[in-house]
Amino acid sequence: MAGGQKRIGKELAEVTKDPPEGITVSLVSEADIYNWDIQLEGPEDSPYAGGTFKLLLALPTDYPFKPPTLNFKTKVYHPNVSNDDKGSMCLGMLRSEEWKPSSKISGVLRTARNLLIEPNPDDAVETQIAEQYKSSRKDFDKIARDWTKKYAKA
Amino acid sequence: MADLLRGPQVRPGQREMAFCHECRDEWYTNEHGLICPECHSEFTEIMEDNNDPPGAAAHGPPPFPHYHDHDHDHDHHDHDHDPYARYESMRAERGGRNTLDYTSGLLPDGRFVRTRLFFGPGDRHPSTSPYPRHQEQPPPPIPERNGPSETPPELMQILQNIVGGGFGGEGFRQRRSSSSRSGDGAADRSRNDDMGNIGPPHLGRHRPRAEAYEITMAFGGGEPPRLGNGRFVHSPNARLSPRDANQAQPTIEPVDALSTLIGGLLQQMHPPGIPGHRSPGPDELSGAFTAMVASFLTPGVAGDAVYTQEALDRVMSQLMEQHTGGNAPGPAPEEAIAALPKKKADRSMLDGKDEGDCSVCMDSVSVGSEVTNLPCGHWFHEHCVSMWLREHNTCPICRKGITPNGEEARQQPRPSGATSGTASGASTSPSDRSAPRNESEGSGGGSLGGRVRQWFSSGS
Repeated sequence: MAGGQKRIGKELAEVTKDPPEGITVSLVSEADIYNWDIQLEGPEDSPYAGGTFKLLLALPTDYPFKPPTLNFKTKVYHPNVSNDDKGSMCLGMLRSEEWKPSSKISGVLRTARNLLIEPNPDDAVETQIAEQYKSSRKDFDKIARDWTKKYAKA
Repeated sequence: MADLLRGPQVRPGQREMAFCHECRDEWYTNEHGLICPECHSEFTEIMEDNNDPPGAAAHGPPPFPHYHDHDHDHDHHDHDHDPYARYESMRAERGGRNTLDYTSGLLPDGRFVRTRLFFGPGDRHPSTSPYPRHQEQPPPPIPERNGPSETPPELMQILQNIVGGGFGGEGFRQRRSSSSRSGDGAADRSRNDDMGNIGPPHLGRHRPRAEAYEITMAFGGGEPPRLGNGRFVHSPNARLSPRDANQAQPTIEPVDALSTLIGGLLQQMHPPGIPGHRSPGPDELSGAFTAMVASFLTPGVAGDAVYTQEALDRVMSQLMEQHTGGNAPGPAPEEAIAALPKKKADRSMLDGKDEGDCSVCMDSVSVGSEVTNLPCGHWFHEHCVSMWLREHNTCPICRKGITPNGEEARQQPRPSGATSGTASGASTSPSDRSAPRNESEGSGGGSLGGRVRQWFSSGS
């Protein structure tokens, strides 16, 4: 899929040159264009403020015909991020039934950061966290802040 | 063996009584051997001065009859006592059969010791024995022993191996000194257990010079789990092993608690790079085993059953992922793809510029290049868009289908695609807009998905 690689290279150059706010991108290994290290700064107006979250963006070999996957490597308390060793982020646009090839990685990353500002409890992977987010926002904010302090501050 | 163990306590000339734990019969061992003459049970025991099985049995199991108080018995050994005489007589009693199985006792950790005696041809010379041996190497020099004890040290060795750390006294010390390991008795014993449960591994080396030897097996304790290069050692009985408080001994090797053990397993399962977690080593557990343990430890999941909403959700999303495409729109009909109009890109398609990008490959398209036009008005390289359409009948930008009504497009396009802002000239036909929206699937993308799409179509 030479075409895919070419596009990935272009996107990488674009994201490196003009990164979305609060996002730094690098390759996990120079020899592998399909795995990206993402550093995400917790948005100011969120309980994740002050934390730096590491993510792994994995592009399939048939990108852009298949969506990439996004995993938090830093533990994060969020309804849309699985609280396990995978840390899978559940982004609607990354679902296979919603993915479209014109979506760009920079857009995916922006969406991911926006999801930190505004979780989507109705599409949660962690239903208990989502319940808490909806019913007692204060408690949710506190735990999210605690986790940020504990895991996302180097 | 049983004879040896209790040998020192038998006064010469005294006849031994045996007791059957099943039918509670009693008999003289020199008449009926160790098998109960009544019920033929092998669960029998020789009665001793300080051990009265019928009495003890009335108050629960006998308190390890053979294995206590051995240290101070060494002094009054019967010098004429021939430890092997009994094997001969037993063999004779059993009509020349060469093996005898019996339960010889209860270990301090609750396991049974089952003993099988092998009888030689009567000749005590090992070299003439036709019976298999564990090892053929000659016995090492017997260490010097003080005291007039007649009991051969090799036998003491065997005793120690059977009872492990629970056997104190001189012999115990001797083993300690001959062992270069710092492990405690329990750990040593569990190592022995690992060797196929065929009794003391020293047996071959320290085999008695008689043509009778034994294979002793311990039952009921179970194998301690040993995992990954011996990094995690769990011996459930370790803390229960008696130690001699009056003698200096090596410290008991700390045995991982079960929780530590599981924690270690979990750590191994974490992918490398997660902060605070060790990367899996080359000796990583095999994938299948890891998955098995993981499935046991995943909260709310037990095999095929789930008990929590969260676990159910997780299983559901796993299943959705496994079905490639999930409820994604199916492929467009090949004829429809082939029938898509091709035309040369002009300035109006390129937003008035000389060059634009194909949204799929991001390669530039200049005025005059041939592109494929979709009914919604979006255009792409022919190669790029057919690659996509063969999998999903949607426009790569606005997700509108290329087949206006019917066929594959029946459940697609998803109406959310109609929110696209820049689908210039897109013919939002009524059939598209009224396509039934499956709420349960649609809720996934929710408002966010729509917003994102809007974003992209306006951005790119």
